[in-house]
Amino acid sequence: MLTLNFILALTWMVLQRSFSFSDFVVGFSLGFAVITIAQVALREQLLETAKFRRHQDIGRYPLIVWKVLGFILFAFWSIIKANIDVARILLRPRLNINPGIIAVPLDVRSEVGITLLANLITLTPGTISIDISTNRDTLYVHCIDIQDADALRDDIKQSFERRVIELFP
Amino acid sequence: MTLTEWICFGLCLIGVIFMLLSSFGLLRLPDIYTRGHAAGKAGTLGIIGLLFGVGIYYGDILTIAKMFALIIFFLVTSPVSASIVERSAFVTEVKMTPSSGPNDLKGRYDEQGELQ
Repeated sequence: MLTLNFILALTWMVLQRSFSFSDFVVGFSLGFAVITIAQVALREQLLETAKFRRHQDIGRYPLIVWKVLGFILFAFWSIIKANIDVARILLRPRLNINPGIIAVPLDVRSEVGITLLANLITLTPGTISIDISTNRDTLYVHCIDIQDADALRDDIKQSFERRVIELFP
Repeated sequence: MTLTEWICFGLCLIGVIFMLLSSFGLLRLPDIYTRGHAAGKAGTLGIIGLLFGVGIYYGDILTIAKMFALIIFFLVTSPVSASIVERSAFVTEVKMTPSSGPNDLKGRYDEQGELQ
């Protein structure tokens, strides 16, 4: 926690572009305020990270870096595609869309993985994740234009979930 | 105009066009669920384009780093807010526009608000 507080203070100083003592004090107290507010969420997050680390061996570090880079590129590419797709739907002369909600069964188990997947779904073509079932095995997704519900479900599972599972099982 | 100026001009133009499309969609789409798509998504590329353009215009490493940080924060928070808006709309029973699409979420909440 103290490390986090120092990192926040340092970030503040870098973004302020001045490295005086008073800036450090301001950054440190602001960081302290943020940590106080986020205390509950932070505690859960730290526990989750510790659990996650135990399952991972250190020898795979280079591989994981490459996977993360690939994942970021893939996510960026999907976001661009999503925007163009939605723009094309909006510019149709006649708006004959077919919205609906589909249930997607999940294979990801970790909380981080589910969060990542839900965010990615929301950022990509015509889909917004609405809610997840209490036992964490179904994700409900709203789609702006459903042609074939099963094909869409397969698409989400094949392209997004497969990549998320590789990083966070 | 120099090449860098043309590049950031192009990026900002892309950004502004997508912002415009996003607000256009907000007016044109029929219900809150579909409007969420326009507001929450066509906007992301708009923000990315604008911030990259500004970053390249100033050209120093610190501004570009700040822009990257802003983009990452935006990409992390914007889908969350879109999901929350849609979820609260569904929970408070805002009507969906009639369509032949499936509705798998209908009737899945029990009395405690737990989702099956």
